[in-house]
Amino acid sequence: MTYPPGSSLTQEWRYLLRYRELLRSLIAKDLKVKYRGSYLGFFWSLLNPLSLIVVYSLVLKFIMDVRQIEPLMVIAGIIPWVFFANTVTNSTESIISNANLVKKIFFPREILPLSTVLFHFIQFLLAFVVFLPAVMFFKGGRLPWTLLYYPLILLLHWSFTAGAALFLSAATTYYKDIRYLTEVAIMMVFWGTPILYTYPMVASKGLTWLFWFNPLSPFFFSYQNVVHFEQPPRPEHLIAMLLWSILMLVLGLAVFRKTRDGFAEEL
Amino acid sequence: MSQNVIEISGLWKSFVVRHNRTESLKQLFIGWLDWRRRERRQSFWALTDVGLQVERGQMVGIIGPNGSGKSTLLRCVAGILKPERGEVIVRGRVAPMIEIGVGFHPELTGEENLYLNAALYGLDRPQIEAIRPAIIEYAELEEFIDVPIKNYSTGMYTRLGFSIAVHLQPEVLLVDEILAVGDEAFQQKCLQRMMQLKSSGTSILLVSHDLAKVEKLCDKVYLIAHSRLEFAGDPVKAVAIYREKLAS
Repeated sequence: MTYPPGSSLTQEWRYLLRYRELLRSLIAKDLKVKYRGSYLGFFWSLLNPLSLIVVYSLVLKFIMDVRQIEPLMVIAGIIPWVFFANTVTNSTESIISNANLVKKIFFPREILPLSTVLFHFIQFLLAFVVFLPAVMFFKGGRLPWTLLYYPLILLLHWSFTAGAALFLSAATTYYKDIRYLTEVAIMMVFWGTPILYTYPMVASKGLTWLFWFNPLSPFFFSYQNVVHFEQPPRPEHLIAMLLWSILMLVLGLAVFRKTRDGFAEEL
Repeated sequence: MSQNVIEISGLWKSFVVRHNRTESLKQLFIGWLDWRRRERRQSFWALTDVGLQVERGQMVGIIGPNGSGKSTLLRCVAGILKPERGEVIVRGRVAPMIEIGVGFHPELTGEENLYLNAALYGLDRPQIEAIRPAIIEYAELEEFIDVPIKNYSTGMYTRLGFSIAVHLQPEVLLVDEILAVGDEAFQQKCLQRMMQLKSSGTSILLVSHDLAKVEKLCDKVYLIAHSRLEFAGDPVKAVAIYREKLAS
């Protein structure tokens, strides 16, 4: 065996698989370090989305008198948004904060951003423990059948997020201020993404064309559709999600593969 | 039949020294506007045309002055750095001991760090579970293995790190100057363990400034100076040439 292994994709994939225990350990480490010494332990992972849901519900229902906006509509988008925003923000640090490892041991570098994505994905899945009851609460004790589309949207959203994480973790290694740029950008993207407003609102203003420029919008239009409006995702959004998720993943992987050999020297 | 476990031929590795290093996008933009503040890159060869062979069960030393490229060579073998030219073939698993306890997290217990560290070297769970008792016993940490390692003494920390590295059963062990840590007793123990590994077929590539030990222990020694291979072969001869160089 040559070392590091050859560059064919199947070889690399096999190599990555050999390190799945490392991936597991890194995620476990992050979870343990996060909750060690706290009284509520992993319940914090539930408290976070719970507080979001409660706050948005109360404010939208009782304080802001905006008849157009319903709590569930916002909740549908806010939970996946938190996953995306946290992953992307943290991924900028996944290589540079592990400089010590990268410079001293050889292992597939992809493991680092991947562990960041999966760490936040686990938090996201835990959020379902409070998210699903919330949906039932607002839907009068039942779950809309359109939730069957949810795993598909989630899968595409995941792949989009993973691609972005791979890209950002590599890019930040070379240009450190991408980290701060990302933090600022995320805040602006929040308002440019349909979370606090919906497709009908955008359409009534004749602005749907504008949202084709934001790759995230088809995902969030679709989340709102299947959770709040009880409709399947619009076909054009399905196609857009499919294209964006593949494009982002391919871009992220390509940039990462191209730059990873230089990480140890760059850090 | 002896087979080369490590085979390096015609290895060239360059390093880039960056004056006014562009570390941020801001600096990148400024560089576009103002050429005086643009990054200037100066590259030099850290290793030129280096060849190296290590046979199964051999202990091979690398000596040379600071900055000559010894550690760079070791990192190329470990796969951490990618050479510009040349080929590095390593047959089997490599365990680099460039630093003791890489990736240890202070909040985690000794045991948790053991799993994490072994996984970093590419072991899966059953493999780690199999060597776990031996690691703990060798590190003499039976009583403290469930304590967060932020509460460990330097000695305990080093023992755990070393113990993991030498129990990975690698085909190749890369050792960078770590024999300099720890007290006399610990160093003795390290050496003993390395000889034991060697006799069981592990090849060891060792970077060291301890010429007496290198002379005594190694089967073959490479002398590197100014990024070039100056001598390869008999340890006594290699050390003699190096001493002569140092004196002149």
